[in-house]
Amino acid sequence: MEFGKVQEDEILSVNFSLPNDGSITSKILEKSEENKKVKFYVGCGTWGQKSWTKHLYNKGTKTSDFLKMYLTQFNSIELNAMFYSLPDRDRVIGWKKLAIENSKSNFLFCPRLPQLISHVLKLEDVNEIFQNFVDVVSNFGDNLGASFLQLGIFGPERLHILQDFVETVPSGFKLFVEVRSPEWFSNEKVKEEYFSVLSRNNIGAVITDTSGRRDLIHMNLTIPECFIRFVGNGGKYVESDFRRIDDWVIRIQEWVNRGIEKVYFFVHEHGERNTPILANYVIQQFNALLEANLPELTFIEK
Amino acid sequence: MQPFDIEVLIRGKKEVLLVIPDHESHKFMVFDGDIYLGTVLPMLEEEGVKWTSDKLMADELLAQIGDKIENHET
Repeated sequence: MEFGKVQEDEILSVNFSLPNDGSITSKILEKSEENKKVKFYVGCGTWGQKSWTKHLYNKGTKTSDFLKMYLTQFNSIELNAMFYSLPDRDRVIGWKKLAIENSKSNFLFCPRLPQLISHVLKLEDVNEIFQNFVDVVSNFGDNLGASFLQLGIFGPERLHILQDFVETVPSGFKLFVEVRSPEWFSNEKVKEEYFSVLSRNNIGAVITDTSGRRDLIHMNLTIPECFIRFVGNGGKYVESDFRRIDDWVIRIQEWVNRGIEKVYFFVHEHGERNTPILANYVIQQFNALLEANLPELTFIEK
Repeated sequence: MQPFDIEVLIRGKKEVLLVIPDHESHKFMVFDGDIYLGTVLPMLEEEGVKWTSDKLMADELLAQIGDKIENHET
C-alpha cells in the first residue's frame, strides 16, 4: 500500500501516538450489549505476493495456489481484487468453497466496492450497480464479512450524495466507508456531520493508520465494530511498527471492555513483503491481551 | 486519479515508470520516460487479479507493474 507513504528520512519525525477517541465512540459503545463475545479478524490486503514464498508459502508455490495457502493461515481478507471489476456469481461461490475446504475457522471475505461505484461514478446513479454488487457478494453467505467503500477525490461538498447512497444500503449488509480528502477531517463540524450520517445509517467508518496521513486516525466508531487498516513502514522501521501495533492493542482492549462487538484489523506494508510478519505479531498480541484465540501463522523454517 | 510513478526492477536495475490511469476503461498506460511500454489491464480471475498488456511485455515486468499499481491503489 503506497497511500500515506513518507520519505524514509521523515518517518522518524512522525508522531505515531493514537489520538483520543472521537466523541461518537462513547455514545456508540454505551449502547452496545455487554458481555457479548468479541470476534477478531486479522488479515492482509492481498492473498499473494511472490515475496511471501520466501517465508510464508513454500518456495515454488504457484500464484494460482496463493488463495488456498492464504486460507490455511488467516481468518479474513480485505478483498481489494474486487476494486477492478465485479466477479461473477460462480467465482464467488468457488472462493467460498475454497474457504470452507481450507480455512481453520469461519473465514471472512471483506470486499472492496468496485472503482466504477467509488471512483468513476462517485456514488451517483449507482443503485443498480450497487445492488448487483450486493447480490454477487451475498453468495459468500456465512463467509461474507464487512464490505468497504473507499472514496478518493470526494470532498465534504458531496456529503449529500454519500448520505443518499448509504440510505440505500440494505439492512443487514455491513458496510464501512473510508474518505480520504483532508477536508473531511480539518473541520470539526464537517467531521461531526460525516460520522453522524454514517452512524444514523448503521455504517462503519474505516480507520486508516499510515505515516503520511495522521488525520485519518479519527477514532470515531459509528457502529460497535472497527475496521482498521494499518500500514507499516517495514524494513528498519519494523520495531516501530510493532510498537504502533502495541498501542492499537491497548486501545482495542479499552473498546472491548466497553462493548465493541467485532474487530477487523488489516495489515499492510509499503511493498507488502513482510506484511505476514506484522500480521502475526497482531495475532500474538490479540491472543495475549484480548484472548482472541486466533491461530498464529506458520512460517517456513530456514 | 492522477498519473503516478512506480519503481520496478528491470534486469536488476531500478527504473521509475510513469503510470497514467484511465479508470473509466480500467486501463493504465505505462511509460519509461518518453517510451510507451504498453497499456496494462487488470483481469479478475480465479486466482485473483491477473494483469495483461496490449504490448508484448516480460511476464516478470508485467507482474511487477501490476503489483505496484495495486499497491498504489489501496
